[in-house]
Amino acid sequence: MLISSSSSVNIPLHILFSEIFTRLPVKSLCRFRCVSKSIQSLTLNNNDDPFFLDLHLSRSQTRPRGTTLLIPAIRSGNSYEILSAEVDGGPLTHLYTIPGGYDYHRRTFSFDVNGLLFFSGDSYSNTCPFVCNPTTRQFLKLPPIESGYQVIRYFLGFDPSTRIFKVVNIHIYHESDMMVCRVFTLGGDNSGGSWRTIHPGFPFEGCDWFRNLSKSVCLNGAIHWFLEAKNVIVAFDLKDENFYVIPLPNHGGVVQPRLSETVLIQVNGFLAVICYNYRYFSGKMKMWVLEDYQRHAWINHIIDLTSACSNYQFFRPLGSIPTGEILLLPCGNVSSLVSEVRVLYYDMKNRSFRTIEIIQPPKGICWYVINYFCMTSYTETLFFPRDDQ
Amino acid sequence: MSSSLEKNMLILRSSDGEEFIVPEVVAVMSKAIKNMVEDECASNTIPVPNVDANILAMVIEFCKKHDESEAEAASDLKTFDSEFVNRGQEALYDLITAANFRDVKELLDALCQNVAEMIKGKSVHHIRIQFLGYQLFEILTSNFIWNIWCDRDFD
Repeated sequence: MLISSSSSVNIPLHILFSEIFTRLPVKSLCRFRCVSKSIQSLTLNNNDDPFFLDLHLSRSQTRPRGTTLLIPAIRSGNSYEILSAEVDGGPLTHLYTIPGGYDYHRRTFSFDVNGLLFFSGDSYSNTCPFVCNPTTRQFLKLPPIESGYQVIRYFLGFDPSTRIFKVVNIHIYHESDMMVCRVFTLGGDNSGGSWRTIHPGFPFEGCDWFRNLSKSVCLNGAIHWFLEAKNVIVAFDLKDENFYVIPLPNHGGVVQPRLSETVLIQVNGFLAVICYNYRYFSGKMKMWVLEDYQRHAWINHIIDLTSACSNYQFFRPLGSIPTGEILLLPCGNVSSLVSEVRVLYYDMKNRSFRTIEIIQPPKGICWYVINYFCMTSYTETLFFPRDDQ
Repeated sequence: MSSSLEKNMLILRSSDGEEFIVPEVVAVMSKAIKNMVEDECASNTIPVPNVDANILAMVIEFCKKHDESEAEAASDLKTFDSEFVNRGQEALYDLITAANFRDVKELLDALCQNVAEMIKGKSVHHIRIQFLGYQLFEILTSNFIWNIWCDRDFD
């Protein structure tokens, strides 16, 4: 043992780190930052130690309160905040205030990508996109791209094989109908912290296909979108920086265009497409799960919520939690004045569901505009791209 | 399987020479002992160096309970675990070392979870009082340990 100790008992060091510190909440680890350089390097410059980070992340997924529900909200006084509630419900509390204030409110909020949240820039106000880890309160702004009134979108992804976060930007120029694709590597490449234009092979001609892409899901080192017009999943490989297409099975996906909605989510590490008719909601939702990613093998599942839907018009799938339960938000017939918001979890294995209640912040001096449709499940991590640009 | 032993019992000898007769199914919850048994290099007595009688008795108690209660309710086992790990820090650290060295995964998990609970949610001030004089606190506050951690080999 290299440490001299006044005590006769010693825990082996690797046990201390890999067995004890990996079981601690991020908040506890961050608290030691001020007393210990060793913990400081663990919580700040942390991409050095993938073993520790991955173990900590996988333990956070099962640890009580390691996973929470995050919801973006605008608070009176024009600050943009992230509120959090426990997975099993309860009061909605303040977690993190986005630095920079009000102008961020029109942004879209990404799913949790390895503990990072991504806020894309706005096409009209030319504000810059940014990533943040709301638990460690680390925040990183990306340089903005001048876009004016053109279509511009950003997506965050993580490639586990290289352990690199990348932001993909797609920009459509109206005048020439040209599509430009750029990549920004977060932490550690030689691009000097700037956007790099790439020339991937696009999966379809023209740029109409791109305009209707769904919210992205990052999995297996690729960013995925559902493309309703073609009824396929479009994927962008983060390592090769190229597009590919995963076809949906026959009769999968769109039921009735214009009346139905198809949502792409991740469940238990698998891609899943959920399709339902929101105008005439029967209580049943069609789901396809991509069981074999390489061979494009899908399995079919029917989510049956008939017994739950008497009070609601329909349910919107928002994602899943680490237990594999699908997060659904009941819509319609809900007054915004209620103090509790109900959320449903659907368990695929047992074909059952449970309801939890999220208690809204008390109406007092400050009020919130809370965007429940952007609710996402979030597992806390120490991940953050190294800031050495 | 070891054929040299009757009724599938093994004898474990602690570092201070005390011997414990343990059913094989219980003893092989330690991966280290399991490997020895499988390689047929376990004679009648298996020495368990670095673990004294006191600690070895505790480890055996834990393994016995876990072996017996396979069919029992998981909540009972949880209660047992939480009571089992509720010990003074000195015993706790000795047990961790033993569980690590003998490779008893369930025990190591339960013990480390307990230490993590002791740290969780506490202020630095409280940690300082609780762990003062113990190596854990020194590590939490030492400056050079990180380098040692980085140098270790990942297998």
